[in-house]
Amino acid sequence: MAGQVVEGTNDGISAVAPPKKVLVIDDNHTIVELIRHAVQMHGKFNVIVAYDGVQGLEQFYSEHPDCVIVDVKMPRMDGYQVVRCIRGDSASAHTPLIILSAMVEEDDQLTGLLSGVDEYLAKPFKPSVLCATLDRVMQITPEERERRMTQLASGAQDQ
Amino acid sequence: MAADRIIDESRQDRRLRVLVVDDSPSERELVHKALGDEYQVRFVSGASEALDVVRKDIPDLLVSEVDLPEGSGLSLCEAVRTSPGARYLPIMLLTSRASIHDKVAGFQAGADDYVVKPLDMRLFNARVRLLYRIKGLEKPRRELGA
Repeated sequence: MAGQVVEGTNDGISAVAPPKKVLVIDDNHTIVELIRHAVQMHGKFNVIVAYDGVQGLEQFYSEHPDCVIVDVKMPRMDGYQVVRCIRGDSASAHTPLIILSAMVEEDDQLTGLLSGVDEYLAKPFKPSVLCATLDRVMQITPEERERRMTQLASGAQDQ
Repeated sequence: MAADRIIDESRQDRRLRVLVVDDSPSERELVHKALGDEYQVRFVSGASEALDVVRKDIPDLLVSEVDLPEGSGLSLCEAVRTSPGARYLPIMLLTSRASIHDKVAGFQAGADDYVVKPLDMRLFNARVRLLYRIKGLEKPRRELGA
């Protein structure tokens, strides 16, 4: 189970904040369970899951997760398309996004980053690295994300 | 001929050529502002006019509204994808249609990116450049059969 986060309030009484939600989108059920276990052991997030890109978008817009971990190769809609859908809508453009994929060629990773993902992790993954990455992307501010996107975009002029 | 001279001059201009399909004057103005002078921007109103342009002289990037007075952005995507030489043309749909169904339909029709209006000018400008770069990565991989 995800841990509860205790926050201070103005009147000095501690309040229990609801745990953050991570949406995991991957068509491999074993991988989903490995990720779920790693994230839940981390104790900061609840996990919701989807098994293809379209189901992932449905979960995203109904559950409003705080972060998304998505595979690339999936039925119906791939992970790059999911990332572009989320980044292309100003209502969701600043959601922390991680790709976790066995596609580890340089161009695969660059495509992910150019599509708008915050981090691109390779499978097989280490639970500690995944959780540290989760923590890191949750700290990225909209301004930092926009700055990074602009920097990546400006590289296009060099081609 | 004058038309030949225009095409020659257009080709001497090294800026990326963006074909924008949208019949709304206010949206055209916004897109033009967002892209600034970095691109050669050409506007058309309908899907068949856009397809004619693509077949005659493929632009570097296509940006289309989904709802058009004649045809639709989705049918345009499908037609472009089967048009000779336009297989790798980067296509962005720019629309106020924001449902999951619309987004999925856009990608299934062949779009590479889907941006929801109202237009965030900085976001849009960056995404146009990013999309062009992404498609540049895809082309050699697809040609190698990856």
